[in-house]
Amino acid sequence: MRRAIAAAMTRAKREIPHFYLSSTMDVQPARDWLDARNAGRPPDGRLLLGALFVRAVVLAAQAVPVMNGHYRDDAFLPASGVNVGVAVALRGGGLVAPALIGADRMDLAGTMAGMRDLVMRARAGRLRGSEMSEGTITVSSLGETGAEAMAGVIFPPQVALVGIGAPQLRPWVVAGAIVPRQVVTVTVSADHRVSDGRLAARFLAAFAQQIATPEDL
Amino acid sequence: MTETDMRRTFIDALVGVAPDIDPESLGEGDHIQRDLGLDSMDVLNLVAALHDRLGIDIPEADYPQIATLALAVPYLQAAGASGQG
Repeated sequence: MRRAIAAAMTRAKREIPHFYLSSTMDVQPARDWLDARNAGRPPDGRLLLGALFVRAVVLAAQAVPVMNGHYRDDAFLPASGVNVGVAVALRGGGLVAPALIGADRMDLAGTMAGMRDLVMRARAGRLRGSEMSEGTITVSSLGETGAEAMAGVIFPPQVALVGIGAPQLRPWVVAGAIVPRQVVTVTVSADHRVSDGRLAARFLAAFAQQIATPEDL
Repeated sequence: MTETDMRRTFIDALVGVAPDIDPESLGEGDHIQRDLGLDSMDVLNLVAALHDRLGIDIPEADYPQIATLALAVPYLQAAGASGQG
């Protein structure tokens, strides 16, 4: 497993001219919306913040299609749908990023169910070949606790990876007042053969817009 | 349910979520996230497994109450006794 990751990451760093853009954003509205939505629901009906992030990436990828697709034979091939790769840490070490195939056709609850299924099968070693090869953009999330930012390595032949740091409680300015808020730092790693800072900034802005209005995800 | 049964139920659910955990070496105070490395999806699956086995619905605000074996057993016994879920 480590050897396969090493080969893919070495190739990525050798061939892809990465560049990185970051933005720190207030996720308190998403957290509050999630708490209210999950209250009173049985565990199987609850959502995780990670599902909101994945859904926001899918919608941002649709808004900025140059971040979503494959780079092959010196050309970028935009994907028609969004198969969002979800980086999953394996217990005992290693990392896989299977794709949620057809994520653009899933609502938030469907996205959450799909992620649970992917994580379970990833841990059990029962992923499908298509899930390992047909991802069009990847999300790597540091979870609920841990480091606050990550600039990740793109999975070839994809052209973008979204690294989401663990939520941090920070003093934040909201409507002119300093208040404690949960914030996350989102870093997009992108392929400079395909996109540029202006387009990556547009992607980050689209993500921020989505996560600020969780009821529309 | 006796304390011994509740311990066994919790440990079974935990090992179901993270099969690499050795029940023999599990410490009373081992934190499921900080020490045992469960992520938020694992915690949700643990809560779902406890719901299935015990009929106890643990709200998100109470997740800290099941963070260690030492905390979880009395919490689940009290929740079971109060007829929750």
